[in-house]
This record gives sequence, structure tokens and C-alpha cells, in this order.
Amino acid sequence: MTHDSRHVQRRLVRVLVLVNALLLTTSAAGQGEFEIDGMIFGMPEARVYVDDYDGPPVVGDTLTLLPNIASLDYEGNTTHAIRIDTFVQEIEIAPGVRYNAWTYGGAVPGPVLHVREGDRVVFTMRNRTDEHVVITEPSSASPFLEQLATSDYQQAETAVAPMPHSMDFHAGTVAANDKWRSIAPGETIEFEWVANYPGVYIYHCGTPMVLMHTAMGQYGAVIVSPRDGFPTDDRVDREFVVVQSDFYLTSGGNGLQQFDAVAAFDKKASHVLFNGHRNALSDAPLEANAGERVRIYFLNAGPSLTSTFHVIGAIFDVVYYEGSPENVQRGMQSVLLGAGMGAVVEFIVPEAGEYYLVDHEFADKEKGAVGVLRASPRTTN
Amino acid sequence: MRHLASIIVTIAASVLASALAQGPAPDAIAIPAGNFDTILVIDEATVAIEAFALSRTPVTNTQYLAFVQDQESWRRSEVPSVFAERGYLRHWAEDLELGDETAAAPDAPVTNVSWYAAASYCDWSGGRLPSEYEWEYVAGAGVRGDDARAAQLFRWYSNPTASLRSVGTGEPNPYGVHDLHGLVLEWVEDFETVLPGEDEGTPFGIACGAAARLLAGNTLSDQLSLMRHIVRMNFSANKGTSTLGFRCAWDVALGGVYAEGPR
Repeated sequence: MTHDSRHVQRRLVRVLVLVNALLLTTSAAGQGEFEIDGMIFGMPEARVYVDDYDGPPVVGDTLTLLPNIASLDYEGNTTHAIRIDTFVQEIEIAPGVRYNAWTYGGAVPGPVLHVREGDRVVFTMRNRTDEHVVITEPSSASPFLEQLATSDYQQAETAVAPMPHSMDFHAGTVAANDKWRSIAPGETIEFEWVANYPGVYIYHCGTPMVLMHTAMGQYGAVIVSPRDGFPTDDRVDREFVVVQSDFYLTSGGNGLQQFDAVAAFDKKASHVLFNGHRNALSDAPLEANAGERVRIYFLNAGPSLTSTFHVIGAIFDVVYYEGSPENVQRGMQSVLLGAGMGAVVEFIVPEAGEYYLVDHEFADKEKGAVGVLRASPRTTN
Repeated sequence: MRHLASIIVTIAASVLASALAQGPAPDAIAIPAGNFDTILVIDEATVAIEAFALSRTPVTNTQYLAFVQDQESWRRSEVPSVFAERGYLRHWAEDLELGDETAAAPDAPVTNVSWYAAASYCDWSGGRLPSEYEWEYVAGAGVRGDDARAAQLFRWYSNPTASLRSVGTGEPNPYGVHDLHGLVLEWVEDFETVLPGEDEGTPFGIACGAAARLLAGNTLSDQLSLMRHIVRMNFSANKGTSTLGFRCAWDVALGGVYAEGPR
């Protein structure tokens, strides 16, 4: 091929790139909704666009900061219009251990979303990884931002690391190639899903290399409460959300830790943590009284390790495996969860004192997977 | 549809009419022909790379400033958004003034440039953007198959803006080329090459991380190449970021005089 013909060919490629960018693509999604066994499928096609949004990065009434869960103060079903932007924050995950986390909403794990089985979620996410996004200013856009303004236990500071990202809600039943597609910095994606099944679900980034994106911090929990509740709802006194995750960091420049690809591939975590900080559940213990029934929505976000979740001194009176009221287990000392699995556990606080939450795989406990529930004396007889 | 067609024709005409070969002589390294073992199993296992020349460093702010001084239509206030979205050269103070931001340092790599802008700069330099194979062929030297080195390079992604510095200040790679890793990501000519089935959700799709199955070898360095591919592929041709720059390539057939790499 001569130089001239190559040159013309390259020019044509450039025109084709432009034409490709201008033409609308079609996909199988968006063919209309349908119902099977009372569940809704067939969501509209995702929309990707560019706008000037620079408002609160987390918007929605039922988005909270761990270990909180929002109460659902409506009857039946509703539609939740929520926003969780993705951007970078320099955060602390243990004393003296800071890194530039790839986050949803500015925290690792990201905000907890609580909905009811049958609810619809209209989700918006802007990729703000090439912008400085401040999360510590008070905002009423979501309980998450309100709670973060008073409890910034990761001591977040803004940072920048442009990267394509995506969002994969395990609580949604949709075509991944449409809804979970990657968007570039500056782009926004909008799609919807219906919470067809109750459960404790992970959401996470699905952009390759997924191991890196999740290890860098892109995950969080969705709680889908059963349409008719759990049989034990009336007896529960306290509710908390705990998310376990594993980190793969090594010393880097500027006093910051950096991603350790070798350790990540070998599943040799540097830290295994509850709620994203070694001291998250000891500086601020979960609080309860003796005799109370405590429910924990527990998610093992991984990305790569299993969890044998145990509360020292308590027995799980009931476990709803994966958070479904139909998956009932009784009298469990621990619940075993692979990466990306969750459960609802309930236990009765036996007496005043301290109850340690641990991953009973002790290497992981020694790497930080420990917290405490502090029980005060019984208030009623 | 007619309206769309007329837009495309207009734009195509303006692209084809852009200036050619008015820039300064390239500071480039001669890259010998050779075989490149491809990274993805969907490709041929080995492809032949013809001899070419590759810019010794990424294009700097100073070099790019010379381009927009000469080519008015590529100035920040002049360029149509279809070729460069807002954000184009946003680290510069003015159309023709670099300003004080660290990223705007004269010898720092130019960033916040679209693929169209990068390709036009290379036209102006009498060259072109390197193909992805060409870029990876050179960038793999001293890295490919070395997991420890690849792991080191992965760490750049943890804090990419912290490593911003002048081009050409680090160690060259075995070809004598600088800054292929650890400074900025770089545009390539065929960045938009779509893997088969990517849009259709077939078993060969890459949505949600099914990409690793396409790797010919499960080495960290190939994971690194795949990551670059995925990142570049996800950018639109009219967008840029603060960590995306470029360098140019030249066909050796042009007969230029290039430095010989140490290899």
C-alpha cells in the first residue's frame, strides 16, 4: 500500500469514527415491559448523555451512610429517582492508610440503597472522575450526605483519576450490555430497574478490569425488603447494615497507598474491613440493649474473599440467606458468604457487654474484619 | 436523516481539508519491523509490524501551542464541539497562553485533547497517530511478560495526576522511546476498534468484565494492555481527559531522518 493510499484510508477511518458517533445505535432493550409471576421485566433502553450537572453527588431519600438504613415510610410500592455519581476521593481505611479510592458517592463502600420488593428505581450516574467533587458539605439531597457531614470517618479529600466506569446492580434484572455499560468521564447514564426479588445485594462497577475497579472501592449494598416483610419484623428492635470488603494496597508515593495488582490476583488482601475502615465499628460501636433483637443486613462485597460472619457471644436466631424471607435458617453460629453475597441475620442480645462482629476466617479478622456491638443493660423486663 | 447526512458531509469535508505537514521536523525514533504477538485471542496470533518511526516523547504543551498558533481552527474558542467537547485544553489559561497550572507546564504532555485534535496535530506534523498494535509493539518492550514491572505500572492508575512531569525525563525503553508508561495514557489511531459482539452482548461481549477470556495469556502485562484498550475504547473521539495525551508516528516510507534507538 502506498503512503498516499494509506493516508486516504486513515482520513476515511476518521470520517467513519465521526459517523459512528453521530448515528444512533439500537439494541434489543426498550421493547416494552411485561409481567411474569407478578414481576416486571423489559426495562426501557439506558440513556447516555452529557450535561453540566455539578450538584449533590448522591440524591435520594433512601440512600444512607453505613451502618444506617432508611425506613420506608410509604405503603405498597413507589418509584425511587436516585443519583449516585462515581468519582475519586482520597480516603482513610485504617489509621495512616490512605489511598485514592474509586468511589460511588465518595465513600467506600458506597451509599446503602433501601427499597421494597416491587419498587422501581430510576437511576442516574455521572462519571465525575475528572472533577474535584466535595462530599463533606452538608446537603439535604440524601440522608447519606447529611450523615457524612457529621460522620466523615474516612476523612475524604477530593482527588482526580479519569477512568470509564459502570454500575451493575445485582438487585436489578436487566440486560447487562445495555444498563451496565461503561461511560467515560463527563458522561451520565440513566436507566431503570424493578426490584423483583427481596434480598441483600451488592452493586459494583463492571468495567474491565473488574477486579481492579472493585478493589479500588466501587461497590455498595442494596437492601430490597420483602413486599410483605419478614416474619420477625415486629420483634426487631435495632437494624444495621454491615458490608465486608477486601483491599489490596501497597506503599506508594506521596504518602498514599496504591493498588497492588499481584496481591489482588493472588487474593492476598492487605486489609479486610467492615464498613470501609478498620475502626468504623469500634470508634462508633453499634448500640443496643440486653434482650433486644438486633438485625444486621450483612453483605460480603469481596471482591475476592469469602466471609464467615460471626458475632462472638451470640447465636443467629434466624438467618434469611441472601435476604429472602423464604431462605430461613435457624440457630446459626455463623453465615458463610462468598464474594458478592449477603444475608439478613438476627440475634437476641444476651446481656450487657460487648459483642464482637468478626469474619471467623481469622486471617481476615486479623487484617481488620472486626467490629463491636456494645450492649447496655436491659431496659424492660 | 437528510439533515444528519448533510452534517456528516460537511464535517467530513472539513476533516479532509485540514492542513497537512506544516509542523516542525519530528523528534522520532526509528522502530524496526517485527512480529507482534497479539494480546487478544480474537486477533491473529501474530501480526507483522512494518518499520515506522515513533515520537520519542508525548506531544508537549509547547508543541501543541505551536500547532494552535498556526491552526486557528484548533484554538479552544474556535473548535466545533463535534471535534472537541468543552474541556478541550481546559488546563490552559487562554487560547494561546499556557498559564500557571501544573498540567500546563511547557514541557508537560498536552492533555485534554480530543482524538480529532490529536490526529490533526499529527497530520500537521506530517505524520499520523500510531495504530494500537504499533503502540503496544513498542510499549511492550521491557514490560511484556514481566509481572513485577507490570504490577508497578498498574500503580500509576491509583494516582495518575501525581506523576505529572516534563516529558523525556525518565528512563527510555529499549527502543529509546520515553514515557509510554507512567505519565499519561495516549490516543491511538484505531482506538475505537470494537471487539466482535461487544455491542450485541454475545458470549464475546465485554460488558461486566467478561473481557479476560479474550486474553491470549493471563499475564499482568497483558491485563495492562487490555486495560488500556478498554479505557481508550470508552472515550468518545471528541472528548479528552486530564490524563490522556498522544504522540505521533511516521511511515518510514516518507524518508525522514530519525534517531536510531539503542536496540
